[in-house]
Amino acid sequence: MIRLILKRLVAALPNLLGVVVITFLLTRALPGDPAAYFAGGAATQEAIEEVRKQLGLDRPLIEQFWRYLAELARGDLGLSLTTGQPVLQELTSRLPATLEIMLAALFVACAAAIPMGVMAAVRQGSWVDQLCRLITTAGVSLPVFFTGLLLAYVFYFLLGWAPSPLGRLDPIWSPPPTLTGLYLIDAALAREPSVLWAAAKQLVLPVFTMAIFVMAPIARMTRASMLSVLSSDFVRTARASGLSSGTVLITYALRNALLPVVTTLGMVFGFMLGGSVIVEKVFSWPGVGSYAIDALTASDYAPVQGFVLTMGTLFVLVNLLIDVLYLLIDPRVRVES
Amino acid sequence: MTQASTQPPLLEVNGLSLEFRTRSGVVHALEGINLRIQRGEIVGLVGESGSGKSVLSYAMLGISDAAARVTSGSAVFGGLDLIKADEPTLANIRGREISMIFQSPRTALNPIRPVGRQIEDVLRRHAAGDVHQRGPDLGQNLRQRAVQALREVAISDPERRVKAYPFEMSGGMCQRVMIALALACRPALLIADEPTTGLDVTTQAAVMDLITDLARQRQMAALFITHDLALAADYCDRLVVMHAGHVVESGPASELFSRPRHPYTARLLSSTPGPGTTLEDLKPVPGNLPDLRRAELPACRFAERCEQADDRCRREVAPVVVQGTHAVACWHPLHAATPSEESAV
Amino acid sequence: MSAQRSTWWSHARHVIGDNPVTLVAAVLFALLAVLALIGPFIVPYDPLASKAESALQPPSAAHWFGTDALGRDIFSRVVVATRMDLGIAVSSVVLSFAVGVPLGLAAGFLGGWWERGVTRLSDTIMAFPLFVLAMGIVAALGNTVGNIVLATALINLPFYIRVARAEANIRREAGWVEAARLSGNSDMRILAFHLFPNALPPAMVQVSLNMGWAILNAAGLSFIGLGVRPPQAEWGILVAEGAQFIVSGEWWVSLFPGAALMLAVFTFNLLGDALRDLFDPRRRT
Repeated sequence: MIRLILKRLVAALPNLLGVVVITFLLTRALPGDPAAYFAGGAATQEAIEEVRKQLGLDRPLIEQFWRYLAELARGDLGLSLTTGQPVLQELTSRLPATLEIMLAALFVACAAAIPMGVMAAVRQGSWVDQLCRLITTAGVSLPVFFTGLLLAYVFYFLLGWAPSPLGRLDPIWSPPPTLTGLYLIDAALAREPSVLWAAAKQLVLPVFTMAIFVMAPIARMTRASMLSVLSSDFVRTARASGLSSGTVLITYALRNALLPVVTTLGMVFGFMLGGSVIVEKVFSWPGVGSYAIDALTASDYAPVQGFVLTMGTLFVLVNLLIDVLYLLIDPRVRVES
Repeated sequence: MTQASTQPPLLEVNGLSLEFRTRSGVVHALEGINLRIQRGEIVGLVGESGSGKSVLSYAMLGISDAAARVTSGSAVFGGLDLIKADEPTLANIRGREISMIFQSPRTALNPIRPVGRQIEDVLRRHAAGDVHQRGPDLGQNLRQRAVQALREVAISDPERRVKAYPFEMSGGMCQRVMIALALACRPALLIADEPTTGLDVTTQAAVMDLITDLARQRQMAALFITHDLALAADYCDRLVVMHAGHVVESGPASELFSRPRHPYTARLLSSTPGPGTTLEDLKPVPGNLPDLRRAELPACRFAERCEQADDRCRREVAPVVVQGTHAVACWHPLHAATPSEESAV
Repeated sequence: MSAQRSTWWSHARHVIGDNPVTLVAAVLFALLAVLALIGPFIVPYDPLASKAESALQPPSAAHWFGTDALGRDIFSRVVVATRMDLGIAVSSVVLSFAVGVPLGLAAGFLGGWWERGVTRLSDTIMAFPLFVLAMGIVAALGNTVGNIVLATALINLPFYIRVARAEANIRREAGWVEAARLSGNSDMRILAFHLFPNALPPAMVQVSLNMGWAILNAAGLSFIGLGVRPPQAEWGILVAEGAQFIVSGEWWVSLFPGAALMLAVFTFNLLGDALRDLFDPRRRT
């Protein structure tokens, strides 16, 4: 088992390398003179040359690449021109905000989409099935920003149920002491129920926006997988043995049907990483996405590259995690030689 | 051998008709099926692929496709009409009084669940009646019974095998597991739907031997569904021949073989290889099964493939003529009996 | 040949008749195409003409979709944006197709290093969350519409590669290619005349689905400030321009461009599903 996990780890390395290489290439493909960009708009010609030497941009590409790897190993992702802070530090401080939305949205999406997919498969042609089809088709057609704005309009402006979309926490509250960076967990651990509640309220709209976005592929996969499993031979045997419909549905059908759904979650996470950028913009959420957008608008390139690197790495790691998880839940995969 | 026909049959199917509603029309899959199985009897249900053999067994157990509708008839088992029974009643019968095993045993078992647990699931489900076995010992008890079930189907090293997954076993062993699963609660009737298809010849014989031995030991009736006439003849007491949703002939296996009375049975026999037959001897059954979606099917569905068919065959359904325990539904049966031997049913 | 064509046509009619939604999708697609082509000539107002006095007016008889913060007619801007969005989508999909399908065919057909290289490229692209990669590419190459097209084409490349490679693999494994070679066809001929036409149907399904995706991608990038710049009209930018007004109740500025976006993507998705049903009835969901 350990050996299989290690094999997965090793298989992920080329992807990791690919992420690093692409990010590196992107830093060198800037229009015009990269050194000028890194030096900043107001730099003199001398300053630009200085930066060029400093960053090694006059050296051959291969040498630059090794240098880049060394910098990464040191955790040096450069400095942000606009804030003057190390990029790595800013990314790590903002990452929990992004993750909080993604994890909560994943939870909500699965909690809604999986039962819906199951019911749509079990009762084909019923209203649940039609609803499921509607959501899957609409879900892939809706632009994330549109959903977000619509939700904000309806639930904040019209109904007044949701708080103003201004970020993680209403300014009257101060954030809980940082343990994980996830406000919900930190507030719970610090026993500050009012902060917990305030943070949860702010989370509702962005989380639902993201959840609607990813519900579609999860529901579609669950439904398709469930349909396929329900017509399989072993479900027929289970029924013919008189097993209760609950046992047949859950222990026999659902457990098998969820396997491909788990694999889909990797792809879903990729969508979420991209969608989080937009959600953060719509709801003024202080995560890594909005950090990158702000930097982009200010032509501040180091944070953008750090952002791309981080998201790429995160994606590879999450897929690795899902691979390993799959290893644990499907016994057939363990027989690989 | 067959029980005296004075005893009430274990299972009696009368005039069962079933149709499928599909997008391209109504398929008249079964029409007027009559079938009787006595306690402890081993019956072979034979016919071409598509003759309705499996459909019949699914209908009896109530696990037919959602598009299936029984339009008439009954299937009485132990005083209960299975067709009219509700789902909870049927669920209690399945696996306990009537069990079924299928072809392709490896895909017929849950691929991600150890086989022992699958047997325990069935035991647990039907052990609800044994109240005194509830409690913390139940798990242990079930595990032991699962091991025992595997031992009874001659699987070696059952304590270890009980934790195995289907993909770790050969096809023959998977079939044994299926048999163990089916027989765990000591049913009175076992339906075996093409249990040997896909297995190699030696394993086929082993599986058939196992089933028939267990059946004899436990006084269990068995219904073998197969398209392999030779196999059925070797292992069954009685044979029932089906063609395109009709039962055309039934009787003791030896009699059917030596003196088939329905033209279809005769053609089946002459297309079945046996020791000593050469390729020239084999004669295929002409034509194909009729399309059962047609609205105007002939009364005898074999008419279009039969040399002896005439207008009457196409218009009128032939009555079942019984001679002892040998029944046939045909206007022009082969080896026509004398009037004194006949009795129409 | 004519018999083949007539069954294809009757099958198409069957699919459309079976599912009237497909007909709706086809009609919508035609509408979008028409708007993209002649939109700028038929709009009531100049999409760039700003009139401060009539800023932020709700929908009315004069302005069907209302006006935006600069007094521009939103209806005109939404219609004109059709050309931009569809143009970006079509260009990027065509580019993706033109590069991805040959690469995929070559990979599946030639195997060996070709296959490994192309697979590696495809995997590397797929190792990124696609939108993030698009962001990175546009940031690196410069903030122009052309780069949006390039970025979108690049991130969609793996899909065409995969589809083409799968088709080529099937044919190769079926000994099909051996037969063609033996009857004297050169590799190039086989690729062009035998493999390509067979890869076309699934690739076309991909094209239709990708169109929807490409539109969403372009709109998303514009929404966050990349690619199309004001005062150009593009649905994503139009939604962005209206975003700040949503919370103060001027819903029309964002809603109409957003709805147009949704409609366009929806149309292409439906079309893609219909094409899939047409070419491969086994895969109906």
